[in-house]
Amino acid sequence: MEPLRDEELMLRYRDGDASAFDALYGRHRAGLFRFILRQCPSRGEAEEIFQEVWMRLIEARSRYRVEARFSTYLYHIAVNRLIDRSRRKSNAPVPSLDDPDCPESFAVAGAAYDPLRQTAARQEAARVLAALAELPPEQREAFLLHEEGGLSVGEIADVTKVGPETAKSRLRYALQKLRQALGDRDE
Amino acid sequence: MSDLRGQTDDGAELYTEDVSRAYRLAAREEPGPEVDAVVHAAAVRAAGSPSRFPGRRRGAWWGVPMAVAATIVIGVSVAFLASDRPDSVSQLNESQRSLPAPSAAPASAEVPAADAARQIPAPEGETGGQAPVAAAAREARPTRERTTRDQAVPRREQYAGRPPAPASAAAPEAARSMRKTAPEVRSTEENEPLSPEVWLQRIRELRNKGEVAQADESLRAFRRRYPDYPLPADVPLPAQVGK
Repeated sequence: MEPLRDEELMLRYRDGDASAFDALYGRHRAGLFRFILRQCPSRGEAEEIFQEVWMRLIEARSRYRVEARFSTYLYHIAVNRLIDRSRRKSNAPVPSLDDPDCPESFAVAGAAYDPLRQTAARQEAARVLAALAELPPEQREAFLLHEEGGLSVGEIADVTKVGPETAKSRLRYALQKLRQALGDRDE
Repeated sequence: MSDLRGQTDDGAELYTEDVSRAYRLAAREEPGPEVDAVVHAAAVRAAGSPSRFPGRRRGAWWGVPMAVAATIVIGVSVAFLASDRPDSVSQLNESQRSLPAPSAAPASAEVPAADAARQIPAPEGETGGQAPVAAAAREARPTRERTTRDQAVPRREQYAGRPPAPASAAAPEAARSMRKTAPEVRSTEENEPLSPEVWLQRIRELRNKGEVAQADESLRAFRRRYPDYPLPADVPLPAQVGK
C-alpha cells in the first residue's frame, strides 16, 4: 500500500487525526531541525525555533489548503521564523564543528567499524559543514532548502520570495563552494 | 536526500554525489526527545479540541442539550395547555349558561369548538393565525369526552341551547334554567306588561276555558298594572279584584 502523501496527512490532521500528524512529524522532524540548526548559533535556539514552527503549523491547521507541496508550506514557516529571529537579534554564526551543543555533528554513520574510514569521513563532513557555515546566508539557505527539505529551484524561489533565476544562482554558488571545500581535502 | 540534477540547468552540473554524500554523513542531528514530546502533546491536544473540524462542526456540542431542553419545554407547554383546556371550556359553559338561552343559542351553535379554541391562549411560537387555532380546536376534540363526563354539558348541545343530558350535578341545573323559559313567558303579563287589550283578551280566553281562578288572578294583576283602565262589560270585575 502506497504511503499517504504529506498533503493528505496534513488534511487528515486538520480534520482531527492526530496519528496523521505523527506520520508527518516523523518524516520532517530531522530535516527541518537541521535546516534550522545550520542557521542558528546554538542548538538550544534551534530547538526553540523548531518547536515554534510546529506550533505554528498546529495552530494554522484549520486554514490549511493544498496549494503547494507540504514541504514548501512547512519550510516557508521555518524561513519566516528565522527571519523574525534575525530581526530580533543580529545574525549569529552557524554552529561550528567545535560547538559543544552539536556533538552529534561528528557522529558519522557507516564508519563505526573502520577507524581510518571514520576519521576520513569525519574530516570530510567537517569540511562540508565548515564550508556550509562560511556560505553567505542566502546561499546556505538555498542549499539547505534543497538538501534537507527536498525543494526544487522553483519551490526555493517561492519560499524565499525571490525569482527562480536568483534562487538557481544562489544554489549554484553554494554548490560550487561546497565542492571546492571537498576538493580541498587532498590539498 | 535529493538529486539536483534534472532540476536545474547549469546548477546541476555543479552538483556532485560527493557534496551530497559528505553532507549526509555529517548531518545527523535530530531534535531532542523532550522537544518531540512537547510537539506531540501540542498536536494531540489540538486534534482533540472542539475546533478540530473547522467550519463544519464547530459549536455543535450544545446542539444535543439544546434539543433536549426544547423538547421538554414544548412538551410541558402542550401538557399544560391540554390540562388547562377543560377549565377554559367550563368557564365558557358557565358564561353561556348565564346568557338568555333562546337568543344566544342559535348563533353560537354554528361555531362550537373553534370559538372555544380561540379562548385558549396559543403556545409560544404559535402567534395567531388560523392554523394554530385550528390545531387547538383539533386538540380540543379528544378532551370533549372528559368534559362531557365531568360536567355533563356536551359542548355542541349546550351551544345549541338544548337541555343537556342529566348525567351530573350540573345538568339538572342547566335543564332547569332552560325549562324556566316557559313560566317566564307566562309571567310576562306582569313583568313585561302586555297592552290592555291583549291582556284582557287573554283573561277572556282563560274564562272561556273555565280557568276562572287563573283568570281572576290575571285580572287582579291587570288592575294593579292599569288601575284606571275601564274594564269592558264581558270582563266582569270579581268581587275581590278591587281589594
